[in-house]
Parts: sequence; structure tokens; C-alpha cells
Amino acid sequence: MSLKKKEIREIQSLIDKKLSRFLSNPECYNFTIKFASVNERKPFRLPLIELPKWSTLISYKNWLYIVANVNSSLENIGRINKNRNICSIYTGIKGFSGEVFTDALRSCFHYYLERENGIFIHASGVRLNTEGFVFAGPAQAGKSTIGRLISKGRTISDECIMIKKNSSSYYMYSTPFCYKDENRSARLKGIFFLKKSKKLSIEKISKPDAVKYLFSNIWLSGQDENIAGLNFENILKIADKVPCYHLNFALNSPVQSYINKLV
Amino acid sequence: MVLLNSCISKNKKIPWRIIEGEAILVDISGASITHLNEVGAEIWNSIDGKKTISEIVRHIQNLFEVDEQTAQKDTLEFIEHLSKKGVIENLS
Repeated sequence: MSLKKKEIREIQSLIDKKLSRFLSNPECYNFTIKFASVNERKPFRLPLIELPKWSTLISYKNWLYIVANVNSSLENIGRINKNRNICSIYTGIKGFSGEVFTDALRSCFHYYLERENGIFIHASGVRLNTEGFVFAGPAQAGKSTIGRLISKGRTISDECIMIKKNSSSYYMYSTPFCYKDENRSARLKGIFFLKKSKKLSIEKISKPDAVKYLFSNIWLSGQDENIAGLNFENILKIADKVPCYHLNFALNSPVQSYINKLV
Repeated sequence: MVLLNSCISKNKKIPWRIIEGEAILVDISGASITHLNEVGAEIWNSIDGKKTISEIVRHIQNLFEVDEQTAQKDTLEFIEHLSKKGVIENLS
């Protein structure tokens, strides 16, 4: 399938509008936009990835392509480089929506992240100065609220955070699937497990508890013993390096002053 | 059902680790974590496919200085619980 020049320009304009802020940030995980032709396809089955039924995973040279049939004239395609984790997105002119790719792209991305000592955690991430703080918890735990309470910080996402090792330290990142208006990363200073309470308290937790709470709040790319084992190993390494805390707080709690002491 | 002369082993598919004297076990689907305290971790560590439950009971009795009846009852209940979770296998 080759794209006409006019189609390429229209597609580029669409993608620029949707992703430009994210892509222009050099600190984010490497996502680039490229345009090329797909001349040859070979069917490929990657059993560990769970993809929506409307998408197909195709391996071609060094790339994994996720092809989604949205309309008959053009197909929406995303691809991830197997070696360098560069993600490219091609899209049909009609019916493009970032959400079309979200599940399929997230699955592929997730697959590689797990193999690079990283995790996706159901959490908000707040960057304060150059330090990163992750606040994890189930729905209604206060992940969005805590970002507002730390008024001097910037929330990079209030739903999903990627934690990954960079050199010898762990960093938190937002993702193209879920980010606020700023896409920033930051060296991870602490992970907090949230609970609503009448009184503010922060308590450091033991490593076994940290592993337990981390595991309860991450997303897995699939359900089998290999994936569980992979994520378990990643979490053990994170719990070893990054301090974890219980954070009990109320709506008017002076969380900012507590967090400032940790910075 | 587990008996005192049963020989049990860990389910090889279960990822686990001892951290600060406690054991963390992950179920196969990754849907849940089992967290064992010091005593539970010691029993878990003793399950090696060679020792019978009776031998494990004796080990716990000596290590934690409890009477035989208490050690036997608690260990059997605990192992039954692990068996229901699918984290151990009964070899005999």
C-alpha cells in the first residue's frame, strides 16, 4: 500500500494536531512520525500480546505493525521498532482518532516495556522541581486530587504512569495513551499508595509490602506465568531502589509541605 | 486433602521471593499476591519435594518452640490453604 502525497500531507496535519505537544518534548519516550510504504506483509503471531479483535499484528523486517481496519480506503497503522522502541503512526484520512490505536499500540508498547525492566502503574505522576512522585491507588483513591494539592508541582498524568530504569536510576514517564497537557519525565523520588482519611499521615512501608502494593496497582500485558514472572522481577527491582509509602490524606491536607521535605 | 506423610512441592509456575524474612508469591495469572509472614515463609521454604509434612512440622516446632499439637494443626491448615490456592503440589 502506498500513500499519495496529498494523503500524506493531510495525515501529517491530523497527527500534528493530536500529538505535536507530546512529540516535541525531547524528554519523552522516543516517539517519531514517519511515512513509508508497506510493500510486503507477512502474517505474524505474537502470543503474549492481547490485541483488540479489529487489529492485526504484522512483523516486517525490524518493525511490528499494528493494522486496524477502520474504513475501506485506508488502514490505520501503528508500528514499533523492535530494537529501539521508536513508535510510528500512520493513519487513514477518514475516521482517524487517537483512540483507534490506543489499545493495540498500548499492548505492543507494553510488551517491550516489560522486557526492559519497566512497568505501567495505575497512578498519577507529579513532577516537583526535577523530582518525580507517583501516587497509586484504585479508582476514587484521590490520584487526581493529590496532583491538585501539590500546587507547585506539575501533573504529567493522573491515570497511567510508566516507570522505567534509565542508567542507574528509575524514572517516571507519561505515555502517549494517557497524559496531561505537559509530557515530562522525572527521576523517581518516591511511590505513594493513597488512602482517603481524616488525618494526613505518611508512613514508609516495608519492601514486602511495597512489592505487594505495587503488584496490586500495575497493569499486565497479558495473563500467564511468564508475564506475571516478568512483572514480578521488575517490581522487585523497583521496590529495592525506590522508597514506597502509605499516604493517608484528606481534601484539605497540607500534602505539599510533607512532600517538600522529601525533595 | 493433605496428610502428615504427604510429600509436597512448590508449583514451579509460581514466581516467588523471600524478602526480609517474608515470602511473596504471585499467582499464575498475576491477578493476586500471597504474602506470607515469617512462619509462613519458613514453611514455604521447607517445601522442597523431599520432606514430608510431618518433617516440616518438626522443623517448625523446633524453630519456633511450639508444642507438637499446635505446630501440627497450624501447619496442616496452612498447607491446605496453599493447596487450595494452587501454589503447591501433592506428590504422594
